[in-house]
Amino acid sequence: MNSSQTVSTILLVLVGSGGIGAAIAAIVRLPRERNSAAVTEAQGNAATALELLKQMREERDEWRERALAAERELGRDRG
Amino acid sequence: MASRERRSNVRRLKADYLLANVFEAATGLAAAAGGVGYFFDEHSLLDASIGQGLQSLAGAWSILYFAGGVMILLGLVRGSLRVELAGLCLFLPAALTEGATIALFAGSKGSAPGALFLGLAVAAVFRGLAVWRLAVEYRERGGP
Repeated sequence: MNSSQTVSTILLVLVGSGGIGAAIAAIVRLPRERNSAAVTEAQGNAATALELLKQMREERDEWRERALAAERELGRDRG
Repeated sequence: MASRERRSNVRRLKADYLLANVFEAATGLAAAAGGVGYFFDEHSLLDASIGQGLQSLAGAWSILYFAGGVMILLGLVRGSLRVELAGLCLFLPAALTEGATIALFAGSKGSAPGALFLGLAVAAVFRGLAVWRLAVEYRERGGP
């Protein structure tokens, strides 16, 4: 085994074992999949709520315009 | 109706996350495809620098490279930070070893691919730190 092969092997063994340890630590220490799914679901709910709010605002604007038009018509009739 | 809309929003959010990290997903896919070759033909790495440098440990390197790539992809598709981070932790040593081995064995001819793999290893470190910070923040706040 020449010096380049030794360097490559040592690098793989040292950094590789560190990487495997870090990967196991990440899986064990970070929130479980269920939590991530719950977070995504909460984001989904928030997006749904925002869309509903947008629809409601559009409907409100539409009704406001209708009310203004009715008021104008009423004023014309009185005049 | 609301549940269907919620499911569609969840799908859209996951797709947005995957698209925002499409470069990382492509790297994971390339690593998974590169690592799997060894299992079909164990002599496939003999001519490559990594095969010459690691010899009998080339199989271990392939497992790291393949597992890292698959876990990065899985983490991005499922929106799971911990699986993505674990994938990056496995991909990093594989990319670092490949970059260093190419630089050692291929000399000046291997400077471009060597630099590419060392660059990917550095990128994996920075992305891993960002994912770790995000995951710790989510854990402390109980959500984004």
